[in-house]
Amino acid sequence: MRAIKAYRSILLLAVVFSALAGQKGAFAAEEINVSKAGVAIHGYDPVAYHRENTPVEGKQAFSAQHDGATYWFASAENRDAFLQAPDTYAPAYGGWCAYGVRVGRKFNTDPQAFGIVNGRLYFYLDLGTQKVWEEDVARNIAIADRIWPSIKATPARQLAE
Amino acid sequence: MNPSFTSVRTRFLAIHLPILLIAVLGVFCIAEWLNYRSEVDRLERDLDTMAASQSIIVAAAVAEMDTSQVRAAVASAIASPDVRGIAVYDDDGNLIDAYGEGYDDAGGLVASTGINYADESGIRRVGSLSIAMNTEPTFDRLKQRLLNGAIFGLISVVAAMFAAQIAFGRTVATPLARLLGVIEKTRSGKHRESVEWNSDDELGRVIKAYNELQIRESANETALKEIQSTLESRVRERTRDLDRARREAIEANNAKSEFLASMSHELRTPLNGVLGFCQILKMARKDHWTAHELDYLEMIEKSGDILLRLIDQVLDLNKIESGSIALELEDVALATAVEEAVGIITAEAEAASVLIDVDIESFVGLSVKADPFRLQQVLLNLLSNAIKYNRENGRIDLAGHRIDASVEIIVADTGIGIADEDYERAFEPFNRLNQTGGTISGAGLGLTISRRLTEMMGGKLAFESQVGIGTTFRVTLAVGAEPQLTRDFIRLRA
Repeated sequence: MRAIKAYRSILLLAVVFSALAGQKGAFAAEEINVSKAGVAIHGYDPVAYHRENTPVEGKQAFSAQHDGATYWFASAENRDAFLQAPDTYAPAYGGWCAYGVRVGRKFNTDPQAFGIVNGRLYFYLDLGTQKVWEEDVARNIAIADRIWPSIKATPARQLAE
Repeated sequence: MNPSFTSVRTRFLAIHLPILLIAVLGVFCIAEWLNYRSEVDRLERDLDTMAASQSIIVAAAVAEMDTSQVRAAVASAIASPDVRGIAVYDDDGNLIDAYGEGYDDAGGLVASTGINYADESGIRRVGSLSIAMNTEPTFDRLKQRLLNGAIFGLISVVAAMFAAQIAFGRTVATPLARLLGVIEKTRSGKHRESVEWNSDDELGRVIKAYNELQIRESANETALKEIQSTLESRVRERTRDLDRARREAIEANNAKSEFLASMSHELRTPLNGVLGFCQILKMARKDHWTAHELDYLEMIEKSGDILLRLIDQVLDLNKIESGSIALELEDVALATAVEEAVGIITAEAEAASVLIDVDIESFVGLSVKADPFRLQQVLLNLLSNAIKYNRENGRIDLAGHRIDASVEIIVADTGIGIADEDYERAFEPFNRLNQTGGTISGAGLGLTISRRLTEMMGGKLAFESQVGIGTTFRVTLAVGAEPQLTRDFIRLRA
């Protein structure tokens, strides 16, 4: 009897999960690089990058909304700090790869490949791209800043053609 | 076992196995499909990243058409084991350089992306690149995983079946087989025995209940056997008791008969003396007696006669009951027998002013098988009763006729009659149907003796009666041979 109940609850759980997985694209904010569930920076804590200069995974329990994207934080303290000054802590270029933006593209990012320049958080496609970017940071930032407004609203797929 | 018999174990497996197989197969397929999807997703993601990364690396070289730089970048890309092939094109679609294979395979896992170059003057599209992923390691891994999963699933199913078999045998099949065995043994009538099984579940309870039933049944059987044996011995005892009682009753009856016989005999002798001397007194001094004294003498004589007749009757009844009476059956001509009987009784009838009307014609030519003396006794008894119980100036009709092989003699009176409910009592000895005392003499033995005598002669005595109107007696006897006497002779005598 108990076993049957367990099976039933497992089945129920599976149904709920599949229903949740079905609501993809609820946050189709092209401007910000988010997952299907609408979470930015692959769920990493943006404040921790600034304060600890290292990638720290956030928790769904400590989350905040900003510009239609969800950010996860490692602690309530970090979340509160973010909510005080979201534009300071939110990554540059909507969390898209900075080098991609520099060449007019929207590339996904690796949470491990990041850099903080003048208090701004940049993310890169991968560690190699980060190296290329860092060869001439000032020039790259200047070019990317100029291009970003023109591609901000364009979907990534469209930019790849 | 009948041919359609299927064991519970087989039925159980027939249900259990398909469900198990479907469940395992379903879980296996879902897990493998999800795994495959995530692997392909990962591959596609990796491919996109790689294409993007390459587009950044070769951008400057393509923009400046530095083919050696392009070659170096492409060569470093192909060094990765994940890359199957890569090709770089200029903005017009012309191939600049390529390594490996599969980059132009539209159906494969290939990513194409434009190459942008940007500087302070702006962004330029300078070319494009295609990159093909080496999917073999991934698919090999998937295949291996599928194989492992299949083997594991198969082993799981076999193990689950084995476990189910063992569990089923322990909990159901074994106790069922034992129970069935004991039931078969009991049915074939050998003996009752208990099922050896002890479990705290439904089957355990069933078997426990069955065992209790067995114990109760065998106790019942033992009790039944005991009752049977005691019953037999009791029947034997009772039979013995009955035998003894019967013997005692017969002995007592014989003693009574002997006593009565000797008593009657002892009574007759002095009574004959009284009667004889009474007659002598009457005859010897006829003129000496006054009319009164003569009446007294006659009263003595009459009383003696009645007493004598009573003693004779008691003696007769006694003889009949003890079976010591001997009858000699012969052909008796009824006309003669009736005439004689009427002759004897006429005086008595006249004294009682009863008319006897004999239809002598009806008796002519009739003869019966009878003992002549006893037939006369029967007729006299019936006539005597008909006189005694008749009304004043009453009549008695006598007639006879033949019915098939028997002859019926009818004696009808106009007397007081006998009620229907008294029919059988009328034939009982010493029963005078409440006519005790009064004017009617007799001990009530006449009808009893008559009936018994008739029956001993192979006949029947019956009557029908209407109270206050009269009674008709019918004596039925077997027909005898044609009498010797002729009608004329009878007429002459009449």
